[in-house]
Amino acid sequence: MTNRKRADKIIMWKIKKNYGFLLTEAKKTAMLKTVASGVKCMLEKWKSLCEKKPLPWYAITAVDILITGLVLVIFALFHHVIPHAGRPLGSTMGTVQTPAPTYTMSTVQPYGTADVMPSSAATPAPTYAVGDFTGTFPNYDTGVGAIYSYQSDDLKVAITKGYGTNSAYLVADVWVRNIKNFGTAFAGDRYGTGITEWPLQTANSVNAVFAVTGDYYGARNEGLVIRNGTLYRSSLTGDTCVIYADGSMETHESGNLNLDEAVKRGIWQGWNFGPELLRDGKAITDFTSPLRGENPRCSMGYYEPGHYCFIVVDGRQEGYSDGMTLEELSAIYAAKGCKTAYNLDGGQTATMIFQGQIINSPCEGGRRSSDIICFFGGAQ
Amino acid sequence: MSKKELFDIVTTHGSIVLGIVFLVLVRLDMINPAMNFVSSSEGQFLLTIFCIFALITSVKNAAGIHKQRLKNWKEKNRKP
Repeated sequence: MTNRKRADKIIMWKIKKNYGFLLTEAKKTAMLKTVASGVKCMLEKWKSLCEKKPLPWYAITAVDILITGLVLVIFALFHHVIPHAGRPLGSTMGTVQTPAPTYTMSTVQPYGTADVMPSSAATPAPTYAVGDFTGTFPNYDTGVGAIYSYQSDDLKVAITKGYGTNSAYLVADVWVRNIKNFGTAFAGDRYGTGITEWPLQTANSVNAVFAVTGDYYGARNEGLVIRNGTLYRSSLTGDTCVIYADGSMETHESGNLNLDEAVKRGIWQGWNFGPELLRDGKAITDFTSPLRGENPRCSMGYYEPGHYCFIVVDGRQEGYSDGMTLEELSAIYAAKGCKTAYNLDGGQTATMIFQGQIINSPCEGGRRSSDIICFFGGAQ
Repeated sequence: MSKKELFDIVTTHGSIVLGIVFLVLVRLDMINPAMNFVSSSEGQFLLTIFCIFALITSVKNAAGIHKQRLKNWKEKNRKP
């Protein structure tokens, strides 16, 4: 077997191994033929070039620059363009049973209890399963004064608009009755790098009432990925954010998370982007992130189990909104009384979706992303 | 062109190309560290090739310099 034939075979094997799931037989053959003819053509060109007089220095420099560009394009192609499917590594719920909506109407405090039940009645305080927030779920309309509102027995979303120094932003106040109402979804319902979809499409495919874009995990090969109680990627680099099965949210700096301990406690969701926006519930004023300038942003905050806050800032739109600095965003979360807050993927990605519509103004019309954070209306 | 010459061209120009590529990647990593350009598996693969090319080129260069110095010394100290 000649070297070229062997090289062709290796290329074909690699394509089959890594991208076989995407290609039909006809496409595979066509791709192999294109690669083989390309290699052959390049070898012939090289041979004829070698037989000629050596090129002048400026031509050699130009060729080097062209090859550099080509290498960068191929690098980008493999780094974040070509989809690469991944597999889940296991459950992150530890010993915690998958939270189920165990509440019944009898355990929910009805309106006007005092009128029908004497206060001295020794009714034992209802106990709820892990991830069931019936005890704190509001029984009033949280959407008074909001520009968008969704009120149901399992989910309450109230969205208001705010204005910063040079920015316009949307704040979503979200209550869930059960942790299962707090979901995440992958683009195209597939986990892997380079797999993207328009966030609105992803949100509609899972019938989300409310959604924001996530951490765009698919653009990287590193960083924690835990979705709906399943571990997909365990590498701990950079700042991480986890939502436990009991509804509490924690942020950890520079991979400073004991994953084994956390899994024992039961992790429901885990992201890798950051930075964290609050330290001990207080605003941070000394961010070192290179992304700390005015930018479109997507972020989430935490008040108590079952009660969360999402802020999406529009930006890079002259005359409307430039964007927000991390310091300003941190100050907003602190003023709202959040205990922790976390910055997600912003820029062109930052999108907020409510009942099948994009309600913010993503810069340059937004872009495809690999995941969303979504909330469901009914009992899951 | 001999195989040796071809090998020299590939290693030297490969070093130049990969050197520029890594300057670009390091700069991109500064702007958007979340993308992990340098520390990704693709970046590590390119870095390995860069190291091999750089090592071959510099060892050959060092050997050439040593040879040249030896030659100069011999010429200087040649007895008439």
